[in-house]
Amino acid sequence: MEIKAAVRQFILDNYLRGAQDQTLEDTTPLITSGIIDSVGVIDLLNFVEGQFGIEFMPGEIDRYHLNTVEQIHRIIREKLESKRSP
Amino acid sequence: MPGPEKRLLLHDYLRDTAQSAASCTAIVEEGRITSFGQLLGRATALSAALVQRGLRKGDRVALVLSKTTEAITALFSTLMAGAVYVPIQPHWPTKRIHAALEDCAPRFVMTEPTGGLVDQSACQTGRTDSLPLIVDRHNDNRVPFPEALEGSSSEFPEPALEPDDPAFILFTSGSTGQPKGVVISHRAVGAFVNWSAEEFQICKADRIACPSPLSFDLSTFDIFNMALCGATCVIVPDRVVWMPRFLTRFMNEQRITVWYSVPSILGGMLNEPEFARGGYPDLRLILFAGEVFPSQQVTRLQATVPHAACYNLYGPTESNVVAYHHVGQDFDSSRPIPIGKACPYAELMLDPAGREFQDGFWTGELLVRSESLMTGYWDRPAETEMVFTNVSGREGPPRRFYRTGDRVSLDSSGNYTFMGRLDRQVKRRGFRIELGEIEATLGRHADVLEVVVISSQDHELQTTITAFVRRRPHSSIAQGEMKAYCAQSVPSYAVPDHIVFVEDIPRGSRGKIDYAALRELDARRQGNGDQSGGAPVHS
Repeated sequence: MEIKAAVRQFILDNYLRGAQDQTLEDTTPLITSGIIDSVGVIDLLNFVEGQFGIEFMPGEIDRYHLNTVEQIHRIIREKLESKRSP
Repeated sequence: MPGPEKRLLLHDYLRDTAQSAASCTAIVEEGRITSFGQLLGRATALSAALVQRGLRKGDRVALVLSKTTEAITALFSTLMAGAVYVPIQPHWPTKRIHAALEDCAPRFVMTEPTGGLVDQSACQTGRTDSLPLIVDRHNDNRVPFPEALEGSSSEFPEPALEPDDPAFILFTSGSTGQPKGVVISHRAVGAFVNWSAEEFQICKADRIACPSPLSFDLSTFDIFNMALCGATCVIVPDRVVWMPRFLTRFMNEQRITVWYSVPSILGGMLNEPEFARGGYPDLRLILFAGEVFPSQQVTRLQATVPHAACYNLYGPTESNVVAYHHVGQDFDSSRPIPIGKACPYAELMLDPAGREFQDGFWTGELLVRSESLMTGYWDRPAETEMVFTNVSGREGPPRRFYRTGDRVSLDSSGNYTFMGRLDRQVKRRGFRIELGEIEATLGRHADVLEVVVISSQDHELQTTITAFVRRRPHSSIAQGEMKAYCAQSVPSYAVPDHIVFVEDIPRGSRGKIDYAALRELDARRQGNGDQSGGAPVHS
């Protein structure tokens, strides 16, 4: 599944259960808005790590840098790229 | 000279220890080390700067700060000036922070420049960016920490303080939608700290983890035992606390010897594959409090760290810890872990007016009389009176007890066990949440006609909060917007996991809300991944 679609689906299934797909935009704030709380973020990161075979470092866990589908998508792509060309 | 009387004040712990162990490490924060001598020096200078700027005995100083070396310095400086610190989490919604500030009316606010409270353009750049600002609430002057310390003397007229004077105010969820401040005196927290230091043999060699925010009473153990016993306080950064993989490594690398947190953090680590391989040779003591730790999880914890002694501690914010129970390796994991027996400074009893004998146990509301009890709710005398009750004994005048609102059982060996709440308060990761506060918050939204909030627990006792909302006709407000609206007023841990739009709130024949029907509806939804967040459902 495409990265963005997978992240979006996880968020809809777990934090906005039953909500219409269009209510979650790529730029909708997730953490600062309260849609996902600090522990919910951990579940999301665990999902992303398992799904895409990447690993986050403590310094990367920041509520302002993982706050939207777009930002999460970007960091996953960066990590996948650096994995391919070390 | 330090004497028995002086040790009753929290900042005197630091003074005594800094005299005898100035070069020992007081605080470790991500590789940054502060000795007791440095901590006392900075706290004294900051205290003098605050007094010079007008801080007086009994004034409040709000610490809208993350858990940092500076925040701990600020806390001691406030106490030295005879003032009262009010820890407020900078991640709380701005509305809630302002509500707390309005309520406790602090003379000074210490805040991070990057927090929402300060105009970003007014900040300097560079290292001082991350250092706190001191905001004078009388004239709105903002002084960065280092500037306040410069030229500040190390001497100032010390206020005469009594152990019963307030030391800090902790804000906790209020059922009417407004957080309320719990006032704790030097004597009250001192009773717990001195007992715990002795009971758990805290010493200079200990490295006590500090995972809880300063606004949470669990942090008083870490900080004041550090000051009293000369132990090292190792600050666990927020981004590490809830990420089990990071925390597992952190505990090993930092050679933590004493750990005290809510069970949820430990429970999260149990599910981390690295945890079982950990070893933790230094960890000698694990304390947990704030919520029920499922017995099976404690068994797993003990299997991984068999050399660490485990204790279940109990006590609401209003009383701090008043009961404790050693969980031995051979405990009966088919039963809930007891909250145990009273600490030596506390007296526990079942409310004689409502207790019942059931299945061989006495059950009823737990009443507490303790040296560690709060002074009262800040500026709320009527609410304070409501949580206290007078109990008449066989002789002597009636005595005053605090009503915990917790239903407990008492077994034949004298151990109490928590059985549930008598009201609508729930715990999530140890944080107290009044469901009524969430209802009041959501109910203020213009599109909401009616709202009922319920909670449920899964087999690992994790709490899920669901809000059933009846919208105005033709309203199209969505789940995400409702959550975001709620998060403007309540901390993220209190935002409902699910918002379910319904056409009617189910009611019984007398018009009372039918909570059983809502719980059934919630269970069905959670069971089948129901789609009720979109289209309204009929109850």
